[in-house]
Amino acid sequence: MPNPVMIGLEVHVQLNTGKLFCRCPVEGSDEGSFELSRRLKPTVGEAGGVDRAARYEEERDRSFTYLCPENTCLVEYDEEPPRSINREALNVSLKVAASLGCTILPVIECMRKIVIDGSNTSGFQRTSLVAVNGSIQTSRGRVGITSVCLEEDSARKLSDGGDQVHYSLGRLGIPLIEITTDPDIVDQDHAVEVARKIGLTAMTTGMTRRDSDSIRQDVNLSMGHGRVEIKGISRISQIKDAIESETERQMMLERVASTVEKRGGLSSKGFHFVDVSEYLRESGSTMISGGIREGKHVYLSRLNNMSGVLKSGDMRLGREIADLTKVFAVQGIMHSDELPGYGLSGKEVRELFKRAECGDLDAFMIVIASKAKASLLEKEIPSRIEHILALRLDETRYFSDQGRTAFLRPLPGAERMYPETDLEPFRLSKEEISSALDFGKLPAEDRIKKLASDYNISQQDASTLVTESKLGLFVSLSSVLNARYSARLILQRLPELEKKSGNKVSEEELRRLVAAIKERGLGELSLDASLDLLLKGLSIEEITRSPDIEPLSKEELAAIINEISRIQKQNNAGEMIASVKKRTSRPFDPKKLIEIAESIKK
Amino acid sequence: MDGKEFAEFGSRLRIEHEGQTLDVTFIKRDGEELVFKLTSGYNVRFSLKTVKILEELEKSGSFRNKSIDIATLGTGSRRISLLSTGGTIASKVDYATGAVKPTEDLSFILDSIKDIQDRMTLSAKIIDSILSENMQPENWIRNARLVSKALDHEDAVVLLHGTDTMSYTASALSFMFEKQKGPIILTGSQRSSDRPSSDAFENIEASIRFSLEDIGEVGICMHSSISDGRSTLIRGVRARKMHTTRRDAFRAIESGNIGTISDRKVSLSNDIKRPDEENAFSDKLDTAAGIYYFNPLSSAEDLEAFSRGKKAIVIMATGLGHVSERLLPKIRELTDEGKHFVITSQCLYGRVDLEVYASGRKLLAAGATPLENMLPETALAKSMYVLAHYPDEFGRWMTTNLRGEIAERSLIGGEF
Repeated sequence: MPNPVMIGLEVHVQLNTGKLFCRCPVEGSDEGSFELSRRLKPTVGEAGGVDRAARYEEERDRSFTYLCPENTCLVEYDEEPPRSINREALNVSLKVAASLGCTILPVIECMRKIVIDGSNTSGFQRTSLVAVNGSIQTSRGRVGITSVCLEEDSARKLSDGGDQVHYSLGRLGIPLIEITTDPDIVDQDHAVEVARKIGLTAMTTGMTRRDSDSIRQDVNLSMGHGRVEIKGISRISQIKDAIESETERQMMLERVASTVEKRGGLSSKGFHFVDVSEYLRESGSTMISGGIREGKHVYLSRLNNMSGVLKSGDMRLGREIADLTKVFAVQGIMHSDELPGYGLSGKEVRELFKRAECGDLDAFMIVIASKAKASLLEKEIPSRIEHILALRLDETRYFSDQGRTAFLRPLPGAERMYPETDLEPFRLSKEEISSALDFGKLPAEDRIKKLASDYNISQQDASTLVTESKLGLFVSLSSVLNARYSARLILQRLPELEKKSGNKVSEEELRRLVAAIKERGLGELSLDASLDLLLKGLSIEEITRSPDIEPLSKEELAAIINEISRIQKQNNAGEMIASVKKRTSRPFDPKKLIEIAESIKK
Repeated sequence: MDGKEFAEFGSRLRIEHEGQTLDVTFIKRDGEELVFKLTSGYNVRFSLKTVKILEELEKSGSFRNKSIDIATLGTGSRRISLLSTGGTIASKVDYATGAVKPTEDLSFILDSIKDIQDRMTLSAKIIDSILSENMQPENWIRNARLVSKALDHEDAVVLLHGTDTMSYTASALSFMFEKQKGPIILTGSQRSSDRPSSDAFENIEASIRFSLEDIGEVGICMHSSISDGRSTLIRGVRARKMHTTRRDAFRAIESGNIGTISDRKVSLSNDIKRPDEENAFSDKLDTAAGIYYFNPLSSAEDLEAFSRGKKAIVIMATGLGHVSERLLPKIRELTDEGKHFVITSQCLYGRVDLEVYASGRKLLAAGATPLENMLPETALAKSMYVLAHYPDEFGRWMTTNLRGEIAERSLIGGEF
């Protein structure tokens, strides 16, 4: 029987309120006009210690280049202290917290969470604990909510060249609500249900951002071998894959550990590098010859008792080592379970076994790396193998494109948190708390029902508006347009037109267009026509000035009908509408057209 | 009110808050609130009235600063003295009290100067602990004496200084050191060293690199761009803080670029003063001086009140060096009483010229002395030096270029 799995989730939801600590908008194109570059150093935390995850990043000694797009300012560049917190975002986080039954903290301290992988220009992420101790009901029982935090989102990684990492700052500073559950989740299907429910709760505020990665999940998982945090799962369906892949991995490592244990275990002294560059200089491996040409060396080490567990059957300890070297930007590694191969001959492999002084059950590995990298890896590799074979598996992992989890860095500790000295604590007013609690009285499902009845739209439409993060847009359009029409416009009409034209209309443009049409005293007919023009690339100013959006008057319609009828007899209403459309680019109401046509006939 | 009546900073407590029991670390008392750290690392603030301390789980102790202080570094023959006056550059935040404490610990720059460790020996010392906005001439004099003493025994001095008044201090030091046998480099930081992105690390590193060079001037070394990797050394008398927060806030105004560093490589400009054979240092300054910022509301009474008790007044005039004719009779009167009025421009960039317009000529006639393109803050420091050394020839010495404070040629130098 495998150990029972304990699962918890962290759900991150972006808000569309504007950025958290500056007045930049959330949206903006990645077209950057300039770049800047930085290095980061870990600093001593409040308790006098340096966080181990931060120290680890420092050893990697990387430099970071940042693309600075239009929705960024000095705050994102870490060239100006944070401005006061975005109060709207804070209030949305309170509403979410209240909906999840949490206790809201009346005074909120902003903390700095040290993150020196470059994803924050400052070297830390600002995060504030907003509420604690809530719970939700699910089909498999109660799931506790540990905490609700309001954070600034990190920069988006564009490329990772190992020593040189490239980010875009457009996403940095977008408000992010982080909802953490207790480890009450029983399996992968349950995890999906919990993630859906939490996401839906956040979306009913109408203030969530609509983007491919605007809701992201981290999975916390433990099978009795320490806590593993799996980061960056942007699709809910991947939660299941991530949990399955990680439980399989841990079960595989249990078998690897017991195999090595039976053979006498790991001797930590066994691992040290010998330089075999001279011997392999003429080998047929392009990876080796290429590395040597770049000035790298080829290092060999024995792996005690590890023959067959690196890669054979379902055992994959080799991959665990490769994941580590990749983090240090070393791609060139090989081990004896996959050799001969990669251009190395049987004779060369036999010689390497000999040089590594391998016994029957031993394996070897080769690393192609610079001297400096090799001396780092000579410490890191045996330490990681030791951890794994002792089944101390706690670490931060990520869900990779290959559909499996992979090593990212050690788990950070509490050392990485210290107060944001540039900001005073935020004190919530009684009104802010009570308005959040009011909002939280209704569960998410009931709020959708209420939305349907308040606006007289279908339950289905209400639900889709929420889950597609279009609730905010709907509410604002409904204040000037008919609610049913607004829902149809957002959910059907606009997506159809967008598909047909291959262009997109942003929420901001739509809002501005609607306001402009209303200001000209025009209605829905004109709006439909103006959307066409917008998708053809006309500006809103051009559209509002255009005669093409003015609906045809009764007289104008009658004149056209008369003219058409003179030329050709119209057999039915459909034909009539089509013929009128051919003669004018201006909008008209087809019902009105038929009425007029009827009256003319009489 | 540090909260000692509740618990020691760093002790582990079990507390009750609104019916909930929590294990926390005590941080501090702040007014009517207690601050605790949760095991997750987040700090929470509870009102004294709503929180009850149930028991102490563990005494404070493990929660201490574990870093090791390193006060000397390197094995080489070039001796560099690093003197800290406080400010944000060489400090650690004490989270219990919120205070910023200075530190002599050099360990944080260890890695970045590995390549030059065998060329120099660096020693560090805290000589003051003061925010630069609180610095006064007595601090300059005290610090200058310590710099002078250091430069008698060492080859170069790096002075860690708050950025707010750094250019005043740099100017004062420039005039007080009539001769110097090595560089005196002031540096600071715009982002405090308690954050991983601090510019402190690189600014100190760059200052140490410049310290290895044959330079006989006082300079300010800071970032030259908002990116890391590029630094500049600016002549103290031509440097000015031109931005409240950016890393590259310090600019050489029109001239004064001594050198630059790009990717750890130093390049010096042609226009630098080489070291003297010996040091010549004077610690005499006369503080009876001030800067008067002329504006449309300025009146003769205003100027008179400002000038009381002062011997030299640096006027920051408009444009080419103009003030309202309302002030002219007063300037004449006060000049006749023996006060000195010297003219600089609010434009900062460009030269004053009192001969182009009638109002300028009238100001000259009233007895004012134009200072070409000298920066107002530099003119203040220079006035203090000249008043103390050449009170009878004030005008002549003020207009003589002593340390490069006047850019002789008006070159078209980049942005302004």
